[in-house]
Amino acid sequence: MNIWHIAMKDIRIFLRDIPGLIYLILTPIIVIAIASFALSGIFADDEVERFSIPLVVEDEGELTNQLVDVLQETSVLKIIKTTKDGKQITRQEAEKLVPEYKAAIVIPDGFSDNVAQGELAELIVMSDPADRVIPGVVHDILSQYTAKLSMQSVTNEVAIEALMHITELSKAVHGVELDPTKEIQSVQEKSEYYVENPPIQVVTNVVQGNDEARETTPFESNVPGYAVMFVLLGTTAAASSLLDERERGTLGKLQTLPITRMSILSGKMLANFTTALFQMFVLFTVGHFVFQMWLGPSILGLVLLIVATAFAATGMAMLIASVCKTRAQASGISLLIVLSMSALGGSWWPLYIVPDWLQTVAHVTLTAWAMSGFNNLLVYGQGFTSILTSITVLFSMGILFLILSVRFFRFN
Amino acid sequence: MTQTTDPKYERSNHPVQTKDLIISAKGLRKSFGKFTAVQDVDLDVYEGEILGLLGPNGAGKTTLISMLTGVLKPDSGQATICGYDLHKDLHKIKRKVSLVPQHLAIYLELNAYENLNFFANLYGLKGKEKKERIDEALEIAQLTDQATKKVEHFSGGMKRRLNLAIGLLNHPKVIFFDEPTVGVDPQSRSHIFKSIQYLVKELKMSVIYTTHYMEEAETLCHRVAIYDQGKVLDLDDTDALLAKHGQKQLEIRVDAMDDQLIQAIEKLKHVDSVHYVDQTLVIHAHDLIKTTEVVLRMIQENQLEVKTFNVRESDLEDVFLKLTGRKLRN
Repeated sequence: MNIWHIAMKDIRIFLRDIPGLIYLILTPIIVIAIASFALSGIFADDEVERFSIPLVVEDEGELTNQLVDVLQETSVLKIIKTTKDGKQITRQEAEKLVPEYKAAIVIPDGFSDNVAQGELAELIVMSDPADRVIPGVVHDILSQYTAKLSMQSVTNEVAIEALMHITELSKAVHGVELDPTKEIQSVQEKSEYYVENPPIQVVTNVVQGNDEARETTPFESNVPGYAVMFVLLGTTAAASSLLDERERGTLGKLQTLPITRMSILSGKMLANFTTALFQMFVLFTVGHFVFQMWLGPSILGLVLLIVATAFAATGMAMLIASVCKTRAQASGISLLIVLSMSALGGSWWPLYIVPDWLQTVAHVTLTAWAMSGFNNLLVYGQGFTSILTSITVLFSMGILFLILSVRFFRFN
Repeated sequence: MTQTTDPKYERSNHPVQTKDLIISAKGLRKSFGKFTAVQDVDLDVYEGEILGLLGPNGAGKTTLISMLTGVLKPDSGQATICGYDLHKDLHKIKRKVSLVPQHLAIYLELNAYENLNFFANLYGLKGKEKKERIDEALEIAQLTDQATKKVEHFSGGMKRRLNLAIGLLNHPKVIFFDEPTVGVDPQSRSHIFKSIQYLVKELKMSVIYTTHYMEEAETLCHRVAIYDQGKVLDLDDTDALLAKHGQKQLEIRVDAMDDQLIQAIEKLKHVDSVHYVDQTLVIHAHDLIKTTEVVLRMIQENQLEVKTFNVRESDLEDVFLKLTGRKLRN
């Protein structure tokens, strides 16, 4: 019962701390919303944020007109051809616009003719040295287009050359003069067809564990990611109240009462664990009902994973409180550890984008195990069995941390 | 309990109720690294008495009572409290004793009632008994009307009184007060004194009271232990301490004294001891009249100016100075 009384006292104090509650609940919701809406373009199929790119057209050939059409149809570019007063953008004006738009495209005079005659034809990308992303995207789009053109040009040239050679041989050997015009036309038509319909294509199939065709949103990874991070920040702050009690003298007073030291620590742990659970359930509830986050194919699995994560976070927070001498020290160390774990463990980005060795290192953190479980459930739609390892590791970590915190905590 | 808010209080001149030992400590010792905070202390406390531990800050008083209340484990030594062994029956001892700590051991985020309720729960109190104890503690601390007010809005004196009230919840046989009047206004100080006297006289409690205020020890305590550097230098009632260590003393205020002159005064025939503290020469001598005459002449010969001089009876401050060579509040 003493454990219960100590925990209830801490929970009562926690619930009265309005700024603290805002920090624990409202701040993560705001951060989740911002991060998720900012990344929504990456996940959505329809609306994609387009980059505005100035286009300088110095050539008047047919190919240039085709290229302009291609650029205007591109889903990621918004082509600006004219200035505000309706005039065509010149090369000099484009240079001035580059710092604003980060890149510009120039189709030089004679581009179409050069391509038609099989001579060197250049497209120019003006780029801002301070930005590598947008010029890179523009360069890739142009490269794709020029690769197709080059392929068509080379195919035509090689095929026509071969036909002409055969015609000459026929005349020289057999004295028969052939007319290759129809074959040349056929070659050109076929090369055009294959440019539009390449024989080798890449097809993407989205693989999901459940039968239901479901569109993944940023919330399925962001809600767990930021929930884990803020629960860690919250529990480490709450566990530091132990240090507060030591500094204020209430811990000394508690030791004069007929209760065991283990009861005092257990009461604190229970309060922290309850706070962490409350925080996670609120964040997941808001994620589901406000942001329409999917809860995965196994609610039981999700609940167990939340409980395991809260338990491990409580253990880690108690361990930090037990090895630090003052609250200020604990706050600094907690922030360092939690932010490092969040970056390393996959709270902010998926673990698979980091090098293999870093993925291995990441699994010393509880964040990596928690995120692995949440991703299996909510992103990949896998079932309960896919999170058993995560749950086992998280509970084991929690128990280990709590044993160490009891061992190292200094009451006086 | 009916109390007034009159800041005056009476001296604890009622007799000690029995000669039964409530605390008997032998050879208690506690070190932190190389620093020994409590050095083989022997201490007997009788039922119904107020025992003062008089010593300066850092003397080791808090460490000693921390051992007797189970917060710290002694490195060596034995103690029996309320008939229980400190090493074997600590849990039982904790039900019989209480500590009113120097630091305010209260939760500012809760109200007075919630604070008392929390500690009452941890003492295992329930139901009607718990409510009665909380009401009684609030009444003794004169906080009944403020019971539902958040403690962070309390004055310093009210917080001190709540700190005291918490210490009464378990109806302890022995209650330890660790510097309970530090930073307290005169009115709250008076209330704390009256409460302590009430606890001893009416509720038959024994009190161990640590302080570095000589007046508090003289006024409140039946017996006073002169305590410094982790040792009890002497323990007796105030009159006996003054009789043993006190005597009339000569105090001469001189702005600057050199060591040679002090040594010369120490060597005088009738002089027992000389201390130069706060620009004041304090001299104990068995022939004060002759000594006064000689010392004044020596000062004059050294071309020093005597600002004031007087002869007075010793108090506990002087006893402390004589036993330790230091003032209580340096």
